[in-house]
Amino acid sequence: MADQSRELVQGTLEMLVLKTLALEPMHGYGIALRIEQISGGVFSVNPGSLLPALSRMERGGRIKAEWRATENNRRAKYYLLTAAGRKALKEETQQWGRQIAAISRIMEA
Amino acid sequence: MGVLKSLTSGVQALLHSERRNQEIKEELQGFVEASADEKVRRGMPREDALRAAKIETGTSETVRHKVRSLGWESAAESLWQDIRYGARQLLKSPGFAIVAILSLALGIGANTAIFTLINDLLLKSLPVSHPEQLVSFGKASGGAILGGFNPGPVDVFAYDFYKDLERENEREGKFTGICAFGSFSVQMSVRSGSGAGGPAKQATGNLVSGTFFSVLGAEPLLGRAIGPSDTQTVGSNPVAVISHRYWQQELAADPSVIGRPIDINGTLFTVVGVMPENFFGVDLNEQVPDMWMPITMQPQVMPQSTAMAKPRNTVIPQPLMLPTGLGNRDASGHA
Repeated sequence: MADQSRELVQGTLEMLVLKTLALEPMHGYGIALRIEQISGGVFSVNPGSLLPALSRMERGGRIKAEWRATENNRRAKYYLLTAAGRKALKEETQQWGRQIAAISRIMEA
Repeated sequence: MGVLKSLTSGVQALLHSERRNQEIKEELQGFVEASADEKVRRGMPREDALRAAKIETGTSETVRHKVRSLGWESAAESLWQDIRYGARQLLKSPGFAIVAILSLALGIGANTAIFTLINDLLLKSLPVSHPEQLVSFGKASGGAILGGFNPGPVDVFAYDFYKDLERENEREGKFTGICAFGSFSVQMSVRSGSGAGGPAKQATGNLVSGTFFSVLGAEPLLGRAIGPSDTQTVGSNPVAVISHRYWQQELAADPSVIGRPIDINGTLFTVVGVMPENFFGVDLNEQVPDMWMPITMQPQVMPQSTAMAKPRNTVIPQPLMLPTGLGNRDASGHA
């Protein structure tokens, strides 16, 4: 993948995490892997930005965390979406839709 | 997020910072292992996979730092670290520390002293109703200095002279009122316990004419002020008006203080009034007197002085008990 950036679009990490967690509770690596897989390898999320984001969202009350055993019988911190998180996801999705449409209009003009 | 919630989570993070660090480390470790597992599943040798995963993840220290720097508590923590660092640096070079602390102390002290002076001279005004109408009587300059003793911006006169002045004013009506007060505070030995008993303590008093409070327009907080009827006869009106501070600190703010007997230099006086907190007398620089007494009680308050007995003779040799004339010119003109 030569010079192509695998960085996320700025400011979208929280929304992507919320979306990922809306499907099912997941641990940190699971979230990173899921984002990478669903994006077809276009985006990769490293823990240096993911864990701070998770911690920020946890303190913001959008997600909550609990320690559970993984499928490989390891202990991992699983993140769950809260009601506030669900609401935030809905809002951010709508806003994202508006922004994308606007940007597309400008770029195609 | 609510302020309260932010506060509690911050305090928790501060208190359990070790546990929190451990959690982040564990989570990161899990991340590395899961990532390595995934690589192994794709066919990478276990050892290489682990190393690659570690490189991808970055050091746990940076991640930990990033996570911890989210809340306000990290600011508090780094402030504490800065303070400790500063203290260590100061201890390392005590010479510099002493010079720095001394310069600060001197600077602050000098500023405080200058402000105190400016406040007294320019900002504070007498606690009276019409300070702009007050005039002091005497020579314009140098009149108040007697034998190296300087009572301030007022002149000193014998009580007898003041009495003449008062009589003159009653006839001519040039001033709304004239009052006099002792040119310095008297140190007295006062027993203020119950029934004028208890240990004798030192207190300061100021002797004032019966017109003192009415000319200044100062109303007492409790009871009454000293009036003209208190200064008719020498030695016959043992009453005292006390300052707010004296009432609070020496008499425990006794609500029934009016009528309470106190022993001043062996004579029984009665408290008749308490002045409000902002009344400090007529001297801006000096301490507020503890109490004010009628000028005619001078023989009892100052047993060693003879100012009242031989008023005419005592002008120069007794500068300590020379009352000062102070007139209040009424701008509206009625006498």
